[in-house]
Amino acid sequence: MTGAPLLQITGLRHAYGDKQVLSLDSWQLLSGKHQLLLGPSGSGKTTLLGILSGLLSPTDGVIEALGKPFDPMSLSDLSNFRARNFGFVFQDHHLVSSLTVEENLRLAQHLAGLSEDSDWENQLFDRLGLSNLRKSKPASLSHGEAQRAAIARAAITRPKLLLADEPTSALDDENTHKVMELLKALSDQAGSTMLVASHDSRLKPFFDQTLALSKPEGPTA
Amino acid sequence: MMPYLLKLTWANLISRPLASWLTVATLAAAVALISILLQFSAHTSNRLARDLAGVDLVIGAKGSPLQLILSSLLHIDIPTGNIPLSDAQKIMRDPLTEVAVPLALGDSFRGFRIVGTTPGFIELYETKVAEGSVWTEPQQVVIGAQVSKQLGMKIGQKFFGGHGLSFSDADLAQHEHAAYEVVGILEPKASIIDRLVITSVDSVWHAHEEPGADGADHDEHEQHGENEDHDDEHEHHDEHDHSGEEAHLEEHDKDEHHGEHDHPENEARLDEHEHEHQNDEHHDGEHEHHDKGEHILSDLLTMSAKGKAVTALLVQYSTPIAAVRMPRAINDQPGLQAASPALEITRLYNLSAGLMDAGKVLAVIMTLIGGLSIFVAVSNAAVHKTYDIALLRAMGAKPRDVFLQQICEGIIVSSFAGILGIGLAHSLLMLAANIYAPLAVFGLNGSQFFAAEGYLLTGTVLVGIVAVIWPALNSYKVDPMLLLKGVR
Repeated sequence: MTGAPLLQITGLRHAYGDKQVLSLDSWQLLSGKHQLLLGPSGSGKTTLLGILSGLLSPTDGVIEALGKPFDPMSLSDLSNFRARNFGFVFQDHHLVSSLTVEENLRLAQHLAGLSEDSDWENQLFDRLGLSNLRKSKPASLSHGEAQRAAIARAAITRPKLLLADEPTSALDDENTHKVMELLKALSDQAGSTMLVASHDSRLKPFFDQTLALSKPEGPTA
Repeated sequence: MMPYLLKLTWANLISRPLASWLTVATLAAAVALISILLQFSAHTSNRLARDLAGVDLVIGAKGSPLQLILSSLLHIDIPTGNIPLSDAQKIMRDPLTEVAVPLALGDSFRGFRIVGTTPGFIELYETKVAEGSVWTEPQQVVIGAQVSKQLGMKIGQKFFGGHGLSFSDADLAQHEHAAYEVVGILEPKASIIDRLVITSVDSVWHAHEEPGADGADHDEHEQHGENEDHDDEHEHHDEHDHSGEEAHLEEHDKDEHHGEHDHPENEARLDEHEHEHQNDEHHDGEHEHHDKGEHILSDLLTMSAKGKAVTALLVQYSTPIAAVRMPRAINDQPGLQAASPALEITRLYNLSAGLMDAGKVLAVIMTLIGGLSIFVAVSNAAVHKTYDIALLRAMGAKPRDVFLQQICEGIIVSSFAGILGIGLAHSLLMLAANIYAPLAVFGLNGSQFFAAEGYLLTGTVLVGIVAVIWPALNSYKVDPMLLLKGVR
């Protein structure tokens, strides 16, 4: 399904103290249209990702997700909304360190209020080559395994929006291609729309749309 | 969410086993110490109330009044000596006396004290015979529930007593001429009476007469019978002269079973030839050829008191004024002392108060250390798990959930420490009661749980909660944006 706005921004401004770091008059992410937030370090893409995911309140502006503005939502409502609709892949592939890979996935399902989906879980483990690592703790995983586990954790709830922050930083071309193909394929399979923040222009071909962010002058679409 | 919150908390705890166990152990040690003090205190007050059995005054030989109370009521010390029966009789007849129960102490069977007394002793402890009946003849005994349970003794079983509170079978051969027979078992009362072997005063007198001896007092005996020659052959003494025992004999004469026979109490014998010197074997009625007179119990109030003695007298007043008059009057008499259980127990409390206070202070310090230990452990864990907490928040966990998860950690650690500590305290007391007899006699064996320990467990959990409030608040405030900032 494409076309309906998944995320929408109107008159967004964000500043840290006196320093304005982000200004975006209007922007939207359509459902099914994967989009790349591309920009160099300091261009505000991480701040934008935080604002769009509801983790950061903007200085000014209106953010709507699935037609609902974030503003009037309580912290608790916003947490629920995030758990049910968003999946995250962070740059450092964070996983809950005291839980196994499998338990990390189950935690995401529980937080989203979903019951365990064994079929989908098995598919993810098979697809990501994690079947033998289900009972492993994050500390015992390699960098690549941890990244794949983080992708599985993000996809397990079949989120409407899959957010990724610098998923290919420090990867060579071959691995970048593999990771992006995997993310795209899993997003499509899960029915998720991908929004990725990156400084890596190699990723552009994997997306339907790109929002280019620049440092001081503000964004240009 | 709650089950997963608990699962996550448990996972956090076992992910750092050493820190978690050290925290639990520190707090558990404090809880164990407090539990022991609580058990001691609660048991002491409960047990003393039962053991003192409403006795207002204990009258015995001059000496330490505390020793008199400990030996006559709590049965954990040796008696101060004996008092003449004639003096005891005067007190028994005193109008200020409502109840006066005589005690003849000195022997034991395998660590359980043998008490020569009257059936009034059983009434004093508000218990009754659960199996069999109260003695009706000398050498018959009623045993407490613990005696029966621990020694596996049953009705009809015979045994010999030994001097003092001996545990050795070798000591039990000291009264081979005076075997006891179990005729009744008392119902459990959770008081000292559970650990006593109760019989008539005649039985104890008889046990302390040496066969063939001239009846002189024996130093090693705490209780001494009348000084007569003994006749091991058990002849009948139809025409004996028993000067000085008229009252006693008169009583015997009243007994319809033995109308014309004079039977001094120390004639009661078992035919030693029928014994194989085994202490507690069953005898299938082979000793049924005693003199008829052996079956008569003396009336201690009216019998001739000449040469007779008892160890102590447990007195209940007939009127409150007796509390003022009686102790003074008795203490004025040579050889007698009156000890008030209430006063002496208070004195005992005061003597041990310093030790108890020191224990309490130590326990409080240990609890604080235990609480601090939880605080440090959870705070450290929270710092190390800041990214986990931020991740939970990013994944949709509410700040409240993150806060509760930390509180859960404090509750789990402190509950575990509380249960472990209380369990440890009871185990230690059970072990101690097995190797230190006075604890067993006192009934402090760790088998009983007190309401105060429920409060202790609650208090321990509260300490755990208080200790984690600060790290929990810090967790509550963790900003999930730090995951996107990528700073580790």
